[in-house]
Amino acid sequence: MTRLTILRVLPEELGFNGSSGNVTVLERRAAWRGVDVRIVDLPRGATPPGDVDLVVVGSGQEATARRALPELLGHAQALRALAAAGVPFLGIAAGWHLLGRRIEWSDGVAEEAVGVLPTAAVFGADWRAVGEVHGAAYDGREVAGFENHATRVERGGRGALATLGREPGGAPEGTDAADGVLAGASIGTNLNGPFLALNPSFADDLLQAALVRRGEALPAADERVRRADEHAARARAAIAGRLGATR
Amino acid sequence: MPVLAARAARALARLRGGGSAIPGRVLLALAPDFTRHALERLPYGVVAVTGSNGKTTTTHMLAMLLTAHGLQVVTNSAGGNMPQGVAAGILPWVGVDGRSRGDVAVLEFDEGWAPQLGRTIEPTRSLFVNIQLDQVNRYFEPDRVYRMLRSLGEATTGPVVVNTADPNLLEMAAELEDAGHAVVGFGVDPAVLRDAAHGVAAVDRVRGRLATVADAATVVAWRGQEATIRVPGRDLDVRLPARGLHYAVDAAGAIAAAASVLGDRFDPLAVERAFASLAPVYGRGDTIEAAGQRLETLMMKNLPSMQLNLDALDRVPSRLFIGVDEGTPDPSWLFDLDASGIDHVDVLSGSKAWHLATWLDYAGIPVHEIIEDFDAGIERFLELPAGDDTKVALVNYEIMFELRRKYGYLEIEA
Repeated sequence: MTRLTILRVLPEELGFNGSSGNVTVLERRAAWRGVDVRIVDLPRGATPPGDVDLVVVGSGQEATARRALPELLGHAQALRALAAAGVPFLGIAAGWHLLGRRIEWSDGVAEEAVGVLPTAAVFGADWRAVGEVHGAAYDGREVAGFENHATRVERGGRGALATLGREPGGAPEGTDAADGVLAGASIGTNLNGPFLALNPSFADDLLQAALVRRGEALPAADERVRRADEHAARARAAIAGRLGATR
Repeated sequence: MPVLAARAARALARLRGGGSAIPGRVLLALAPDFTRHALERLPYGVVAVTGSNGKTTTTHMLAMLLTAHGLQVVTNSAGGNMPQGVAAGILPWVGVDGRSRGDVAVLEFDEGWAPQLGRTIEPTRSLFVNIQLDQVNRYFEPDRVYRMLRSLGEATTGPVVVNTADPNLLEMAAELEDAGHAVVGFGVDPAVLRDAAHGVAAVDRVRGRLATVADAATVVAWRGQEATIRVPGRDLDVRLPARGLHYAVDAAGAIAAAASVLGDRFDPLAVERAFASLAPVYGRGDTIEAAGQRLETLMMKNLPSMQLNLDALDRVPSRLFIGVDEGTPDPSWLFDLDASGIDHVDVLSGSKAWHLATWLDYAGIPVHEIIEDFDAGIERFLELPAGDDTKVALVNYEIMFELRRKYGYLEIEA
């Protein structure tokens, strides 16, 4: 049986509001297809293992992310080497920004970040985007979720993951319709919590990218995968309905 | 004059059915200083109660304890916990001179409004129940909730009563003590905490030094709906309004605050008697009659409350309904829940049903039927044959309200 290793970075600190659920989604969807998954945690003070197939960094409050940054910078070389070797990363909200090039905290202090993803983030905008969103990904795929952030992002010329529609009048002045970033097979997004549960095709993309590196492909979906996909599709449709969006 | 105008507005609002904030809006527009002016001469002062989970229950318990000691207690239980609701809630006690009758006020504050209410009212005492992960869509970050509570603590003129089982509040206690405030504790014996599956569910955010605060009331034993709470020199046997360690902690908080308010008048026997006659708090773990059968209702307001309510359920329910709508805008936290206390869902309902289905898929919990429409869903659930135990409905606040209204429980929240 194929075995994939998912590295969960600082899970004790960066798992805010269900964002560690993304690892569960990846693990379940792989297992349902007969791909065995080993989840390896990278706690504070540990060294990242070299044999990793996928890396997930969850979200946290700004203060939590700020404390996590020096620890992650200590692993920047190792993490960048994984990315250079084609290992896909998933970064959720603050986890995305930690993986970016640079972060400016809400008090104006700017720091270099890990540099796996090409984006730079500025925390503490004078607006805050909170609510359900629905839109289309870079390839036209439907995307939905919940955002809750006050972060401006500079993408360094790279494409956004998705273009979002918000509640009528719900998008504060200055918010960007674009969300997230796609860099190679890696994904960063401000759609918080278990983004992959509502958007499982992105989970399959990440698993597929991890398997392709090993010269393998994602096995066919079974009934359990299809049921979860159906539930996610209807959950996205419910969000679209609440936002009055038409697709 | 503002009082009369607000009373007129209240009468009008009642004729139209509900609308408890309307008289408050009228009041605060006519007399922005109404609440402070009304409360500033109460002989036993004002106790503000706030925190993430359990503030309504704790407010209710504290008011009851003070009433049991013969005090006339002003509360906002019929109003709301934001400025207009607080003003409306105390209105029935206020005379045309703008002063409240009564001996003491016990007021629940919404965390988000705690700084403003603190500045306006300057309570004599504050009681902080906990800082847990709650309504991230509204409060954004637990750090922000921490700062909001600390601001209320700073505005409090007398002792601040804190839950010593919540490290966040011990950190806040250290900061308040450094600023010259008196802090009183209540808490849980570590042995009791060890036996509880998920402790007190405090959010993990501590940054600084923790104070050492002595407890004025400690939960030293707990089982289901019974708790033993130790006060200096005595163990009180307390009957809780529902099963759950969190209710025992709420009771300890109410007892500690009551002891602080009452001083020498505090009577342990009056406390035991008062708890023995305490009715269940609206919709938080009580049983209703619906379509000729008993239905145990549990609230899933946020991660800690749902976890503690599941932990307090002494069985795996054989018939389970889950209902959630947009009143829970972001149910992401479900992915952090330990759902080992349930093994299937009979009917999943509400406008967030599909969203919850994705969580249940990955949690490996089978869902037998998904019926988005709440009315159809609950009716279907009640049609199912009885299981081995009382049917359970696990619902969010808004669906709890709909459920109770549907089956003839028309009361306003206690």
